[in-house]
Amino acid sequence: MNLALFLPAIAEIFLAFAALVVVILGAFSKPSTATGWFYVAMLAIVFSLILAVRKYTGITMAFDRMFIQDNLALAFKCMIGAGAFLALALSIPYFTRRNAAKFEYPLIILLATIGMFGMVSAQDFLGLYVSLELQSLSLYVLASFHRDDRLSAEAGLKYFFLGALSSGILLYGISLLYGYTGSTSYITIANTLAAHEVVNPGVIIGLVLVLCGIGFKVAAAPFHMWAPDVYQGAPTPVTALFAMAPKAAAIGVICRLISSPFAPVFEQTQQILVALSIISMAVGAFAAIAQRNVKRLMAYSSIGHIGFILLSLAAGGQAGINGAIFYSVIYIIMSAGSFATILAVYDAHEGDEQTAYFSGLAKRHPVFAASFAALLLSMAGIPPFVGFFAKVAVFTAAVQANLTWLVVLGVLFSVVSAFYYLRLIKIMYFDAPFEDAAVLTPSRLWVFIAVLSALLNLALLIYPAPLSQFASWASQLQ
Amino acid sequence: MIIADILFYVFATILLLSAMVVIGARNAVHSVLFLILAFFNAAGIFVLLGAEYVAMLLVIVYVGAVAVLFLFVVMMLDIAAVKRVDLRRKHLMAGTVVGAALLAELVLVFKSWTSAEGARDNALFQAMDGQSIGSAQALGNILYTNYLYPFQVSGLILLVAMIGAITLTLRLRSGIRRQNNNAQVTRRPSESMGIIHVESGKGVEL
Repeated sequence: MNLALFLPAIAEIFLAFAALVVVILGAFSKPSTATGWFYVAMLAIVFSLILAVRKYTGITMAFDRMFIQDNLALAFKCMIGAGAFLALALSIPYFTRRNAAKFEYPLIILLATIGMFGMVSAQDFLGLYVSLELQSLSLYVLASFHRDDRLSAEAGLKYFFLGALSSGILLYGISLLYGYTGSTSYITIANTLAAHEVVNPGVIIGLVLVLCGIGFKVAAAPFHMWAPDVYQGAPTPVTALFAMAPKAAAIGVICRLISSPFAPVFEQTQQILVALSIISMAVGAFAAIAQRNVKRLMAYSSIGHIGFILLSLAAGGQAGINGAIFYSVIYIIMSAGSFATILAVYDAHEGDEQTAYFSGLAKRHPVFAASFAALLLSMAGIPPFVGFFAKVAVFTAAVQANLTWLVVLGVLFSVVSAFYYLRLIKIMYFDAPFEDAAVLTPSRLWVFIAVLSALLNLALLIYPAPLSQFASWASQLQ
Repeated sequence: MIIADILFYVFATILLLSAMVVIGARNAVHSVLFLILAFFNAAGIFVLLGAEYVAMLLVIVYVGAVAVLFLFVVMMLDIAAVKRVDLRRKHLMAGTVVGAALLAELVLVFKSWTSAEGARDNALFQAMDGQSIGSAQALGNILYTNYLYPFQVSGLILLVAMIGAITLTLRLRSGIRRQNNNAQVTRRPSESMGIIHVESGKGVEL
């Protein structure tokens, strides 16, 4: 047997072996050494990415054309890997402080990472579905990881039910596409759809259902109902993971879908993406205003950001994918820093993440306050920060695709959403510290990640070339 | 052929009706029993399609193992203790609207349904004709070759399910007596036995 045939999937294969090793050795290790497995998992993710990058030789397929490794897949794998890595790093102080580290936690994150890698590399709806389930099942377990906490258990259950429903919807859509084209392979579906001028209503409904199913996974409105509850209930480092890695994976799937199987029916796909984008931006802007819980606020904020990414994808083509990747990378950087701050501020108040606990943060911990303020301004898209350029990239792509009216809406919604970002800054800088405000004793790792992400925000502003090169390299599909 | 058609409609009707009872029944035990009936009818449809291996798998795995396990779990739950909340009326309107919209779409699809020309040739593997090889062999031929990737990922999914179930339910309680085989076997008589001379009328302290 020629082992080189499996080379395109080397990152996944390596991670699978790493996960199996962690299962066996972790089960026999002492509970006191559990933190060590966090580092092992982080190393495994980094090493798998190094392997994938070094062994990359252009577009290659494996597993009977079910699996593809190309620029897009590799770029998204780097983003997913970075998200999972950062989430693991954020978790280490969190679990050691609670004395609750378990080797299963990094293990499940490793398995979820394999699923997410598989999603962006899928070249067949069957491969997409199994990878998606691997990712989702792992995330359901992670959401309810604090099993004795009522909110965490509720989060897991809610996520599980709605996730199962969305998988059903996705499968129904896939079955309609399969019924029409006779294949689940992206390439065959694209060729069959391209060969027929008239689009069959069955194909359109199938397309709608597939995008609705993926919409659930990215928490795009109107399929966002689960996000605030799950974000609030899940342990905070898990929420950080949810905000970074699975979002990137699902965005990668949409990039792949619009550039391969749905490319011949892009007109119809675009309508759905535009609708999802407008509703997500609106929900992200207006629903967050009334929120007093920071984790719920972050959930609505992420829904809004997904709206902007979908706006870019609705523009389609290389420019749209380019904008989406640019925005996603910046979003991952911003999320990492924000969640580091949230973890530090609510270390003593978990389960009750009122915005009031941020009051007077400028005096209690100026470094966190300054870095978080920079990140919030960046999220709001206020000019001197890199979030502004992310929005510019997205809007440019949309204007080029004659979606100017959508850009106008996007700018308006982004102005509305600036309100709650600025309110948080006001609470940190101008409100007096709340009564019996404890002295913040954050872990150095959290401070490091928060400062790093704020600095990256500024660095990318001054020197954005690497990021824009990365995005344009990743969106080269041929 | 007409017998096959009649059988299909019988199986399909019972399947749909019992599926409706599964979600509608007030008693969870009834739900599971009707689920088993639904599995049997689905197996019947698979037999009609010539996929006897999948049919047997459905009966053995789903009916024989999964559904029976469900039944055990459901019977162990104290259903009467759980206060029933009748959500049906509360969500009737929204459910009806969404359901009607979906149904209308599906009717539209059904009315204008055609497969693309050449869709049949697109399929990697043709449906079993029931002549050359058995369906178990046909499945085995592609499962470990063309479908190796989904097969392996499914294995990982099962691993996640197992680890997840253990993580969410295993409790290491302190203060309970656990069997320690090593301590049991290496125990010496001198550690556990001793001869104490008890003087009459004084008792002994241990």
